[in-house]
Amino acid sequence: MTDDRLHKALEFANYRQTFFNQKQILKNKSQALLSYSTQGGTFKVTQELIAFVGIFVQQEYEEMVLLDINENPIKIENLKSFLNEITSRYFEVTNDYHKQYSEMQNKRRTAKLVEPA
Amino acid sequence: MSQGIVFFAHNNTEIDYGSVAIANATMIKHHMGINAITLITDEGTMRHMNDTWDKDIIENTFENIKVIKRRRIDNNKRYRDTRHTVNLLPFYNINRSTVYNESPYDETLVIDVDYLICNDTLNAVWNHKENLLINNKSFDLLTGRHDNSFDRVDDFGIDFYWATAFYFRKSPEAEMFFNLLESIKANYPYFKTLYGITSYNFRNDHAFSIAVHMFNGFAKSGLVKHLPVDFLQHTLDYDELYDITSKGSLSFLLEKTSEPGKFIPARTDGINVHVMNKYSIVRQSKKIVEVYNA
Repeated sequence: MTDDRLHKALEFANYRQTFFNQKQILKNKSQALLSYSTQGGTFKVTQELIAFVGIFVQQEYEEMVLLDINENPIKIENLKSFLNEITSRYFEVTNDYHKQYSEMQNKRRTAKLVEPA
Repeated sequence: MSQGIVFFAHNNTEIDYGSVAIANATMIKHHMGINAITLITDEGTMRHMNDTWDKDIIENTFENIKVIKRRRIDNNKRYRDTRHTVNLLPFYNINRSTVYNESPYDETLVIDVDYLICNDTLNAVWNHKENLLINNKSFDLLTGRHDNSFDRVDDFGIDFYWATAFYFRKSPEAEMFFNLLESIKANYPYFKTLYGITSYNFRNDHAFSIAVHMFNGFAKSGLVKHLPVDFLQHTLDYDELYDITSKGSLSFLLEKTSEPGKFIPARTDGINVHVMNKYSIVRQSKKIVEVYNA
């Protein structure tokens, strides 16, 4: 094995490590942004929460009590608006995650991965 | 209900916490849209700030500046500037528990000056149902690197809580919490021994961890809740904050776990990061203010 081959392999290992780390940074960022606060409570915006609230909005409930991340009961007074808010937050964050991740996938060099957008 | 942020900044012979406070307050004003920022500092730090920064910048950055009398204390901390430099320097951190009385706000968010704010997620604390919020989780920006001392105060000890960022509303409950912190600080050798803390110096994270444990009924009951985003993110003092390319965009060199002294690059956009290498923030503080005021 020539030194050049080894050098390339090590360079690629560095690239992979940086890529993986940047992906985790994006993932943690999405996780942090997927939260929504209202009425003194905070909710983690998940697919389950959206589906759960969606069921009751479809059944024309106008308000309901939900447990927030601290398991405090929070009365949501305008359920439809709450659903709109969490849904748009979900799309905003996941679309941004997708966009940034796609951009990263096209970058084949370590330095490019951390270049400002 | 008044709401605002409180910073503490006390310089030592090498770390210019005042400059870090100005830089971070500038970031907060932009990302969180908050102008109510109070700085608690001392005469020496204030004098140095006046010598280093334009008067207008200081006045426009902080709503209030409280200059307190600095006490003579024997509390030293190891400050690293990556693996290449390490210095044992005085660390003035004993007045954090006074924030309940010092804060001019009904609702206060206390943020360490080295917790660089790049988004508005902390705004979710205002008007919260809880009177006190503090986190016990922080992720290293370098995936796979994990320091067990950030999980518990001791291998067999209580959960570690981060005094880096916490929220309180003036209330009998919060007042009791800070009174408890005061007595932990006053009797620190006793509490340190009781909780198996082996580090020599006084550390706010440890004092807060003890206070939260006691407040939770000497159990892991979770009565003290966490901030809306239940984790912080940090870089170690072995790492380097080497650039701020635009608002909210931080560039780091993170030390590889497998190869001490060697780094991988990392960039964050819109992420709040607790940067433990204070030297590197001081180096970037002028640039931060320039980028944000451009």
